[in-house]
Amino acid sequence: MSEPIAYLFAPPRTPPARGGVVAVAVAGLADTEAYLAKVGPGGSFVLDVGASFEPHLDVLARLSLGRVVVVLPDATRTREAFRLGAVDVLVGAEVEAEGAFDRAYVGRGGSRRAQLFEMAWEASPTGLVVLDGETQTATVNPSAAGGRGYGYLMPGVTPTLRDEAGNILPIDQFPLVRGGRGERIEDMRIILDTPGAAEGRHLAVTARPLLDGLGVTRGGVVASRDITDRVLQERHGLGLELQAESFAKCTPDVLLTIDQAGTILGVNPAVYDMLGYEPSQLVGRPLQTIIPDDLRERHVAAFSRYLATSKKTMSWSRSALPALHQVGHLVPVEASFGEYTIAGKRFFTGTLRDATDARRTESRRAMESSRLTALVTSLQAGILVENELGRVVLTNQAFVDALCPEASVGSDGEEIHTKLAERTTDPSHFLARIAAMLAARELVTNEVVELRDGAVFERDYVPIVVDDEYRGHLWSYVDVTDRRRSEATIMALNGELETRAVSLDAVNRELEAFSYSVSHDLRAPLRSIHGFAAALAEDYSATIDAEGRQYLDRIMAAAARMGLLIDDLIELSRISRSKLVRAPVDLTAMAHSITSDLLASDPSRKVDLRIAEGLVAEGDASLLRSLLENLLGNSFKYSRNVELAIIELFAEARDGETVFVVRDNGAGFDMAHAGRLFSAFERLHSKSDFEGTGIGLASAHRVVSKHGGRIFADARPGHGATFSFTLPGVGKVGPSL
Amino acid sequence: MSGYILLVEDNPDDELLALRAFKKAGLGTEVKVARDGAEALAFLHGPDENRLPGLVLLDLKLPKIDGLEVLKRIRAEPRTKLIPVVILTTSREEQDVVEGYSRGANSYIRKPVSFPEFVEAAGRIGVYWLELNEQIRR
Repeated sequence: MSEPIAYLFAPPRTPPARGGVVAVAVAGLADTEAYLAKVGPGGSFVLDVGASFEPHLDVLARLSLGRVVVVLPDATRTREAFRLGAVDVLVGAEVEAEGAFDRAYVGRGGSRRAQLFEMAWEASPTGLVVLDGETQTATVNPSAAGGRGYGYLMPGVTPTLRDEAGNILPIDQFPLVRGGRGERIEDMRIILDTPGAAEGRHLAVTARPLLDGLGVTRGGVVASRDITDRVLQERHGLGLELQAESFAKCTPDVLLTIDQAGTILGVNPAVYDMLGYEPSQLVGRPLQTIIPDDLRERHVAAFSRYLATSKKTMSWSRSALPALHQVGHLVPVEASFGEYTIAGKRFFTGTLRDATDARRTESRRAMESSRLTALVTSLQAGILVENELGRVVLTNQAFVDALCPEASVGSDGEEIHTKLAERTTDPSHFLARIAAMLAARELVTNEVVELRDGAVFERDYVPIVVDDEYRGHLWSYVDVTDRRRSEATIMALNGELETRAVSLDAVNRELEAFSYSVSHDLRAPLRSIHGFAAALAEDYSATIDAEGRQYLDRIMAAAARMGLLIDDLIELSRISRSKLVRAPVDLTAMAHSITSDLLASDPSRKVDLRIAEGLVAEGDASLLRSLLENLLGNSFKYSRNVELAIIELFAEARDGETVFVVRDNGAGFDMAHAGRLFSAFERLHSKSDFEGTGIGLASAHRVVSKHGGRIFADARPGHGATFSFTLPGVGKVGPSL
Repeated sequence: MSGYILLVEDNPDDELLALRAFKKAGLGTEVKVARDGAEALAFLHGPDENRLPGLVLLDLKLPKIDGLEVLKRIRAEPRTKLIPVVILTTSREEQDVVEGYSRGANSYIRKPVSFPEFVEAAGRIGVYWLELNEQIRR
């Protein structure tokens, strides 16, 4: 500011008109005060006061007026004028009052700043347009005039403008139009279509309103910056970033970055499939996490050596290495490494490619294995699967619940076995068996393991061999506690049953022996009684009178009767004891044979026999014969007082089953007493009317029961009797039905 | 009429009744009695070999050696194997009947309780086996 004003001054390119803005040049203090009243606060003021300007400035300060330009007769007091608040100082000798006014209006015209503005205006790459509402003129700097391609500003051309999304802007939204209205615009992004170019020009536009001396908006200034290059660059950069991210996401290879301390900084999701870790589980952990135990030391040594000397100990491209899976097994990988430096820090990248021959097979296997896993999980048997290193790779709830709560994927198999052994009744035996099976690697099934709490399991050991290579083994524990209990119960019951069968057998044998002796030993004395009574009657008839003779007859009759009783009892017992041998039996033929015997025993009888043809039953021939003998024998016996006896045998269908019927027209009986009919020794007729032991129907009943059938009677005294019986399993009877 | 009847019977009553029955039936045949199985075999296989019976009536329930065993040994011995043997017993257990026939009994008769029946049976036995049945001549 010490330089002479004349030197600094350069007239503005477009001097604005004076109208509306008050500026006064005065010579005396009284004038100053008079004009102040006219201008009002905030106006610009040119003070042309010669050498004595202090009183004027005092007034101005008192009234808080705006810009004051001081016009001095010479440059001697310039500095003092600025100190007192002048915004500019003009040297009056060289300046007309008129010009001073113009310069004051432009703002800082005539100063060094004005010149700097002028230079900036000319040189700025930003397109600047001053839209003067007062003069209705637009002032355009060279950039805006088209030097840098802001063609849209050229007169007579209506450009096509778009917003960032590509939508065409209506004209009232054009930055120049809005700026001309005095709107304030902050960094508006527009695209200017450029004929013949694929991509238009990207512009960042800012606008400020233009105010006159009284603060009234009079147009605006619009600044437009070409940001096309930046936009394209940004776009390209973002693309690259997205591309890299997408690659990292989709590749089956593991991509990881470590810093020079060996800490993993980032890794892509493929690491889960390959090594069983989620990326978040690895970030921040040392690279050694995925390096097998036996290679860790060598890795650390080689890495520090490289950091110090940049000498590689192995190829950084496609090296075959084992990686350590989370659950402990080794995964063969092909590893490649790279290095980059940012801000003096070294970073290393690695890609790990699964080197298992058939990666596809692997993924299919993984799918199958996930199904298997689901299956195993839901099994009732307790399952524990270990890999070849003895680490648990799979187990299920049943195992955890029933056998070993400590078991989980990743735990040490040996530990699990030790824990489990403690719960068995014989831990040392348990562990010895485990060791033996692991050594033999051969299938073992249904080995019994008893826990101290009473539970009993059957254990299977299944070695897992893939392509002839041992890959681990599976333990399956099936809870057989209940089954074992049932088995024990069944065995006890069987034992009991056997004992009973044995005693039953003994009873049967005893019974047989009894029948045998009854038939032998009881009959012998009867023979003696009968025989000697007969001898008496015959040899001593001369000395025995009629009454004595009668007594002897009674003795013989009683003995004979007892003989019959014994025979019937033996028959009854035979029926009970005999085994049922089922076969088709021709009942018709059997009935003919029986009735012919009966007729032969009493040839004087007249009997109308009506035996149906084709009666066939499924049963035991000997027992059925006994049955028919009894029933037909009864009919024969009880019809002997009838002039023409009718005895029938036939079959009929009742309620879907075949019923065999023996009917006679004999004496019959009262159904009131029928309840006792089938019991041994029960008789409905007196001995004097009809002889009999009362055992025949009991035998008949037993035969039918033994066949699983039923027997029932129907009778009326004097109107004959009907006996009906069923024999289940009789599928078909003869055509006479 | 050739030979005599050997009655193997341990019950004295039955023995007496049998003898009487034979008499009543009018059989003039001589009847010799053995009272147990051992005695019967001693008689048949003993030194007095010349006089073998024309018929053996054999009870099954016998002291010492039972009837079936006696029958087996009679059939096993060449000199006696052709002698007619009729089992005369109280049992009519099927098992005894089957065993008797399968060991070579010529007939199986159950002793009836009724004496007249017994007499009738005795008569028939004697007539059939000693008179009607063709004997092997020695």
